[in-house]
Amino acid sequence: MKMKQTFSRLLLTFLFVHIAFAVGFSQAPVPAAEFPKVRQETFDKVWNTINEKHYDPTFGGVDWIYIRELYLPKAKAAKSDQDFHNVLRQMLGELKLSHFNIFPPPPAIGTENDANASVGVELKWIGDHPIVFRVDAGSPAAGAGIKPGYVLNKVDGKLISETLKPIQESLAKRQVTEMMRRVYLERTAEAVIGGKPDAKVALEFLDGEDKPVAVELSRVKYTGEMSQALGNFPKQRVIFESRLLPENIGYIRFNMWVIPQAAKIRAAIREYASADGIIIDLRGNPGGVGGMAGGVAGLLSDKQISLGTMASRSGSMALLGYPQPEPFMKKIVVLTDHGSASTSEMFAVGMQENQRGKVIGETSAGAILLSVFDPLPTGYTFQYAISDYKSPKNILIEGRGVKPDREVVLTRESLLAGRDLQLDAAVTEIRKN
Amino acid sequence: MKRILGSTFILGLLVAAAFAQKPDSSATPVVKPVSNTVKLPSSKDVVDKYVKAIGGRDALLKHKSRYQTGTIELSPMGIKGTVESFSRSDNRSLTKVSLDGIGDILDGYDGTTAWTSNPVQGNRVKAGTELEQSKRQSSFAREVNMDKIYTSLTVKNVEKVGDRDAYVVVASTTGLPDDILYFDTESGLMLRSDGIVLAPEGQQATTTFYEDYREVDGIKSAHKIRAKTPAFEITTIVSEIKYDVAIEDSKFVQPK
Repeated sequence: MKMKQTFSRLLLTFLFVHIAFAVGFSQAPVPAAEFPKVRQETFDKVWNTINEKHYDPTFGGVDWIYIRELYLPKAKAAKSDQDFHNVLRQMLGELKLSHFNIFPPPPAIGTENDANASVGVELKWIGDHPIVFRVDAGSPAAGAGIKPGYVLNKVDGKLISETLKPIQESLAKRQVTEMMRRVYLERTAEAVIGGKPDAKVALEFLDGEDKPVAVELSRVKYTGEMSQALGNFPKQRVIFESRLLPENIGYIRFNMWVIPQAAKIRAAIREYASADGIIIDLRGNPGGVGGMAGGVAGLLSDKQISLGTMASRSGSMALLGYPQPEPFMKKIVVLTDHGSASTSEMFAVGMQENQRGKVIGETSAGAILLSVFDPLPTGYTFQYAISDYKSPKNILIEGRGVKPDREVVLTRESLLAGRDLQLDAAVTEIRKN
Repeated sequence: MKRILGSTFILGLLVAAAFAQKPDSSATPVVKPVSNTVKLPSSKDVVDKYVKAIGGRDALLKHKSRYQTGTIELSPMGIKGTVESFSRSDNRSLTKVSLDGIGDILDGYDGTTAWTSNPVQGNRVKAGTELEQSKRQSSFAREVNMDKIYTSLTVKNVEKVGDRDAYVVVASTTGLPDDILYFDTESGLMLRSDGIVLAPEGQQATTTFYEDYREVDGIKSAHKIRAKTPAFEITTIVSEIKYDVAIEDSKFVQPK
């Protein structure tokens, strides 16, 4: 007697993982591989996988056969393991798409946070500068009096503009959108001020009057909740915030679409059942488990809702939200910015095009493809997309982003004044008749 | 080489049908045309041989319930977990897949309502062709009831499944995509099935291989099942099968 074939449908309809940015991966170099055969197998696996599984059999006009001829000699000439994998990244970069990457092996169990300790600030790239957007309560930065709106100017005595110059030049040569450029710069700046726990870092900020504020801070290890690894997709931080705003509006923010967030989001939506509306803040949220977008949509709709379609080389599949008991049916506003990617974009445009909610903020990252994570013979992990994504109105979001119903940009001045203009606009939207 | 070419050929045809939006003729797996030199048995002979091979009609019908457990792995994502399956002779069923990092994914049929529940998408009740497919799959002793489950069974050809020759049987039901079943010409065991899994999200072409047959309480069943789609492969290893265990009605009811 056979096990039911429904396993495949049960699993495949929601296991699609969309991660646009590698927030959870260490970028630390690993020892060079000793056996060239391993590199040959790795190169072949990467090239063949794209050749056989890329959702677009035309590779977007890229001559994939020629790409092999171009990059195989470079891969063979690589002097280190790191160089070799950089060649693979460059080869994947020829596709000019998100969700294609090569990641180093995850750190050993128990050390996953060791390289990611922080001083507790979140940066946004505003006006071509890294500006403090959030300061974590109780963090070293908060203790030192660092405030939103401050400009990060120096790290360990070196101008951050100098530190970021190489990546600025690299990004200028690549065909990345302005949204993605800002994301790369923010993440790099945050990585520069982050590091090993308890290690000190000397930072210089510019305050509201552009006067230098020099502080020496100890990096603090993240001790909060982590998600479980999802197969080859490593564990991630689980940061969740919800509160009832004074205007009787629920506010929900979470850092990634990972499984532990599902129950928290559901509980928060239930808690705000009598609120006049709910704001879902997806700014800086790079995505996660794709099916979760449908799961949350089902809590906000009394009918089946389509969040778009995903087309692979062999056909297409809809992404749906199924109505759950007692859905929240009052106003919804989704906050987006250039760092809102993948599953976040799917949810935002789904709410928007189904006229179930308004999107306020900035155009999203435009980085949304269906991807999987696959181990390579070298021990690195290969992320590749197997389908594209189109919105419910059949609009390709990759490279375009979700356009907000109302565009509101953050300014340094408003952050210094203690105001979040995008959140203010969301509140106004819900309060209006 | 012939085996590889054969599998690739059929998979290549199935790919064109994968993820189509609604059941139609293009969603039906394709079978190679019959060779004039091959004398084929009747479908009744093939099914009777299969039933005999796995223990016989009496052995299959004497049990009132079945419980199975095992492990499951999805590649290339590397997701692992466990699977439990409960079924009763009154055609009620529950499958529980517990995946590391996700949680429990439930799929049940209580005799009237077919449903799913998972931590990502919540609860859902099936309808239409998806409901009909669930009913068909919940049939307890489906091996002895194939002539009732399907409106027609037709032996089309002999093909290789691995290194084994297999009769290819097209199993049709009105309103649902065909299943294509492959039975070992010598042992009679089912080696493979091709089908279209229906869901509101679309249709998923799936090729399933049945391997490592072992006998438990007089019934032979596959202890390794590999379900392949164009992008993924799901491998289930059955670790235990028990018959005639008590399973309460509440097991098959959709959770709130």
